[in-house]
Amino acid sequence: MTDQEIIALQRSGDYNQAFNAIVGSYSERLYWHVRRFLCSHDDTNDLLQDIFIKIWKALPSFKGDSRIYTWIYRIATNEALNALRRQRLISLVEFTSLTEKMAGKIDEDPYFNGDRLQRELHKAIQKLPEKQKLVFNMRYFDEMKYEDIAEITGTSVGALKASYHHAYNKIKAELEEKTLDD
Amino acid sequence: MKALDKDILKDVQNLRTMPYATPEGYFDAFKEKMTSDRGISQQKTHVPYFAIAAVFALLLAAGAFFIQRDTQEEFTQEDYIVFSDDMTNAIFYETYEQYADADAVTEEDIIEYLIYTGTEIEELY
Repeated sequence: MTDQEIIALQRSGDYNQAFNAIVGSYSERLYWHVRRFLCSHDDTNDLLQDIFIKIWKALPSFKGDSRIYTWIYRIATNEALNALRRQRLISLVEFTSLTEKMAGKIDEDPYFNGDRLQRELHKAIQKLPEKQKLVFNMRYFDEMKYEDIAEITGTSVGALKASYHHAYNKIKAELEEKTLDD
Repeated sequence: MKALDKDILKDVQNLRTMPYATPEGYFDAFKEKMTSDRGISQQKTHVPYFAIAAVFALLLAAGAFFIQRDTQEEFTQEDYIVFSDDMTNAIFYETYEQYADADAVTEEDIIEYLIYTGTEIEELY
């Protein structure tokens, strides 16, 4: 179902059908969006359910000021960032860093089936500051337009380009260093 | 020289693919669950992480306060250097540079400013 059809259902007050259509269209996309932040399948699964519950509760209040695509991604992105902040607090209590904690999750993930360089890439992403991590994930993997990312994150295109540029160079340097070490 | 530069993020194609997998049939089961009960049965009680963190931060702050109170000197080493009659130009600049470096504008700041003010990334290099 297209976004226009989902909006038509929402506007007609058929929230059940609109929600079912959103679940059908966006589950996989949002899963991978969140998984890049949280790394572990179990954490992603828990958060994805929370995200859809939020969408379900907020659906009647969707006014159509933004596209439904960016509205859904905004909810998912905010939830993912909040989850990361909770993880950061937990890591503080555990006397470790968020980067180490997330690297551990990647190493221990039974559903990680990439090669060594992919593992290093995803660990390097976890070292980035929040905004750089966000824009790198959305741009590098999903090839989202800067304008769409700006609408989702409420950040200017210029600032996003700068963040992506820094993130890209940091990760490139780190991966090149890792390959030189071999 | 620039033409010889390799870009590992562009050159290695599989880096853009997701190295993660999901349990078999996960998405079908997830969609079924969400559309049948709106995930309400899955709603869980959140652990009050913020409360735990706040208590922890309070304990840390209290500990730091007592340790600092017992060990704090009236003047720091830098104070002695700055107020000393023996201070030479060399010591002054060494001290100055030490503190100036902490607030120095980095290359990252400059690039960020230029991009923010409309300079295209390609023009920077």
